[in-house]
Amino acid sequence: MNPTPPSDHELVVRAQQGSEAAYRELLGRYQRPVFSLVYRMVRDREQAEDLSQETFVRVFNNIDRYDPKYKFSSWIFKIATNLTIDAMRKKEPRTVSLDGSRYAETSDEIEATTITVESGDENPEELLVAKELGESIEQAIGRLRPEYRTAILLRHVEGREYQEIAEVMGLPLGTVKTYIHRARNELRGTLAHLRV
Amino acid sequence: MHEADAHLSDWTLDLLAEGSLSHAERTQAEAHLRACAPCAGELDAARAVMAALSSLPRFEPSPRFAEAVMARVVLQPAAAPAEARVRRWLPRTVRGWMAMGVLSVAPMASMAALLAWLLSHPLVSPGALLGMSGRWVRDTGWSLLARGAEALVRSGVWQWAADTFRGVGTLSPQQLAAAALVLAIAVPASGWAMARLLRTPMGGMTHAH
Repeated sequence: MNPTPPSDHELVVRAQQGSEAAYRELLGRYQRPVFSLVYRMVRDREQAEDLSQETFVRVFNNIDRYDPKYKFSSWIFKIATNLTIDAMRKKEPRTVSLDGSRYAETSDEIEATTITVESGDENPEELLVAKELGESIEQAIGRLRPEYRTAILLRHVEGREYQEIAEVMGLPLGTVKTYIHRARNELRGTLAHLRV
Repeated sequence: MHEADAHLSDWTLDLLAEGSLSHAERTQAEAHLRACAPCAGELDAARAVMAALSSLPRFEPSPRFAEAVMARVVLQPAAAPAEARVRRWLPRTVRGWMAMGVLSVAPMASMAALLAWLLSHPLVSPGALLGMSGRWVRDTGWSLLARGAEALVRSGVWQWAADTFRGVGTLSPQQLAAAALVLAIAVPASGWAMARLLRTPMGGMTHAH
């Protein structure tokens, strides 16, 4: 029988005591969620790697300041979203790309920043439909306002509760619900032409 | 929610798709949906968007990601285990152990030699030696205590303390003496603890590869 894995809080306590293994366990738990969120926000793999790295470095180097009143996940997502939104504000788009990053101007940049969706489905027709749907959703998410995008990704991709999203974004609960509702409506409108 | 003949609002459809409506609201909405094909279609679309969002994959960062992060992390200093703390006081070389042995054994050997010499005298018995030693320890102890008390009185500290506590009017001289004794032990102990603490390296340890 496998022992119960340590909670995030237990790992943070061990990290505060100097355990490198605890840092690595936290990194293993959160590197994909944090990177996915940041990548879908900036739609640029290299920038997403830099911002995700910076997120972990800031969290780990300030681990003694962690407030156990809040979830560790809330803290790390909060730092990731703040860093990402700051980076996006500093890099205002001059043109709007519908496919790749909002900041991509050339065809090479558009191609490099277009999120492609892989599917494990073996049926070629279903594979094509799933791929088309996935890429359409990724593009539709990319067109949402950054605040809506953060909220909807945390809710539906990361499966976070409304209250936790409110803590991450530093917004009232009602505002977060409104953002998510509007984001879903926009996505529904954008994807109306597809069989979703 | 709208009246029975009106369509359901986007907000209601959203909450229904998410399963967040109350029982009463859900019952009312479902009654409407049975009779309204457009609203049923909108609900299907809302559910499909949620399902599609929830099935989006997570992306993997590059393989070098973890090492790149850890290279920039300053690990918190590890708490020294008890064994390590003890080991810090022990010699690390053979010469050190020999020096420690000599320093430990020499006083005991000297005392043993002195005792042997005293006991070799025909007029000295072990009982008499023990009684003499006991008296010497007792006399020395009282003498030191008297000298300490005298020094305390002469320094004016006793008078100051007595005046202070008399003003408070709560402690007897015996209690004051007890408190002074506690302070006499606690102050050097605190100083020693503080010195030990300051000797402990405070800086973090940089993760190295």
